[in-house]
Amino acid sequence: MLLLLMGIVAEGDAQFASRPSHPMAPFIERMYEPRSKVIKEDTVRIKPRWFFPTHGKVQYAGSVGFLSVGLGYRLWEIYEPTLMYGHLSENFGGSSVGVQTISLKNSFFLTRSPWLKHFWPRAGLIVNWGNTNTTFKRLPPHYPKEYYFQNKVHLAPFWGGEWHIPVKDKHLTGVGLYFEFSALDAYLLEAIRTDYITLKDIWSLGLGVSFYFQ
Amino acid sequence: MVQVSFLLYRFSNLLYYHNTFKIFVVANGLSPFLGVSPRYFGFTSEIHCLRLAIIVPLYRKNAALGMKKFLLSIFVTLVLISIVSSCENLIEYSPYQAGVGSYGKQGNLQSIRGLENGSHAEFKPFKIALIGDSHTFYDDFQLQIKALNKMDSIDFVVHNGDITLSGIYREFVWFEDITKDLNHPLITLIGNHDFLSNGEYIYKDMFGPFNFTLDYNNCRFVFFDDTIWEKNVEDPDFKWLKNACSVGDDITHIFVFAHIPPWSKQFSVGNHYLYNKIIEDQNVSLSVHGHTHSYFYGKREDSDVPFLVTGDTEDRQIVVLDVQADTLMVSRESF
Repeated sequence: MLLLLMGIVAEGDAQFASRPSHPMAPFIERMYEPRSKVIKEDTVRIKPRWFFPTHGKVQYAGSVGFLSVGLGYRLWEIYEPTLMYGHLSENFGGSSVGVQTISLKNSFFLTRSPWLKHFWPRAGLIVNWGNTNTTFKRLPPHYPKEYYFQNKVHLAPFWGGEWHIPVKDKHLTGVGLYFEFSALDAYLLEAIRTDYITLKDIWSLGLGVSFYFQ
Repeated sequence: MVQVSFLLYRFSNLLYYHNTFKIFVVANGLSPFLGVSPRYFGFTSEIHCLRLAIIVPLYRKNAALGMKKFLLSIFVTLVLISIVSSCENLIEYSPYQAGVGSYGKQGNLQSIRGLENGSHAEFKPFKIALIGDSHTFYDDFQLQIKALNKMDSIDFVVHNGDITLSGIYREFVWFEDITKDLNHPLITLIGNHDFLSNGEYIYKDMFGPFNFTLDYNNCRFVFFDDTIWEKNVEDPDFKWLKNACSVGDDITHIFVFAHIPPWSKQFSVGNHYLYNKIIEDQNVSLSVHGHTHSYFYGKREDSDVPFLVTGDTEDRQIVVLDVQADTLMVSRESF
């Protein structure tokens, strides 16, 4: 759907997180400006609200739960880490067993500027912490050494993209609709190891909305 | 549906900011966005792929759409449709999910019902095929299923457990994909690897209970879950095993199937003793196992009951058990 959106013409000025469009923007921007503070005889530069996340995400599926929410930052222009929490349960996704997932989405922008002014291709690596009765980082003492490989943390490389729409809002500079295809390490391994599993069988589609804060 | 349309209408208003176009989304696939399970919208959980949303962009009067870009959008749509429809299981909530997805339901119970319907009250000789520990040896496993299909003389197939490597969702789905080509009824035991992650819940959903019995041609088949470590060191349910094996003297044979052989490290001395005592007291004809990845058939010092252990799928062998009234014949067929 988002790829389809990409194909549809969208004229107008694209505006991104770094260029707020709201009339209140100068005021808000000032809140982010570094200030000097004198402590005893030292002058230090403080960046207020440096901790405030630059974006939030709400995502459907994608191997991190039925719905997941997360907050993150944008670092070094090309890198965008997001820490997500995913939820899946009987009432919320229909799984007979509840699953809570913590996930770190390491997202990298693949191009300097978005295609067609709005579509930004991305790729990266997702780190998933799963939690079940039989997932372990270190084996419990009753197992012999190296009986199982750790199955608490799974890596999942992904590729995808985001359609960015700037909005005029007090709190937001824009929203984005994104999709991603991720492949869990265990699935990827089988695709490499066996002929039966092909690269077609391993992808998991995640769809979501990003909110970029002022 | 009204709610969906309303929300999407709001969504299209958002795009109005843009002054470019308005989108109407006639969506099935988007219902999950509302935080409601697709089931409530009448979709079953067996849906492999996201239902494609149909998007009709209606352009505002002054926003002219170039022919080139219009064609591009159609092209992109077609590419997207082909990607989505060519991949199965594209929507996966979690590798630890159970009860959602595209595998069959309660397969063991279905096989047992079918077999018990076709069973005779009196003993009649029959043959069964035994396999085990297929893990993720999918290429060999496919060949194994083909080889089993060529065997006309067998009545059913028993898989002695470890159908996955990590007990995660798609490994179960792939097992199902391969075994659905099998022409014979299949009974699958749970193995220790199938307990990993949330495998036990997926197994329960896909095959049924862990402990179960089958009465076929006046023989009692007892399928027993003896996983210990993966349940955080919980002793197997020997009470159940004893009850399941107590069937009176008229029965011709009793067979016990359990993934882990009792002489493995998982069994404490007490458990090992208890298992051997139960199968000896109940006059079990054969105790069948997997787990060790190496074939074994014969008696052991500590028990009068013979043991049979199947190798793994990589061995490229199928064990055939020929059940006669007074004897059992075990043979191996390579493929």
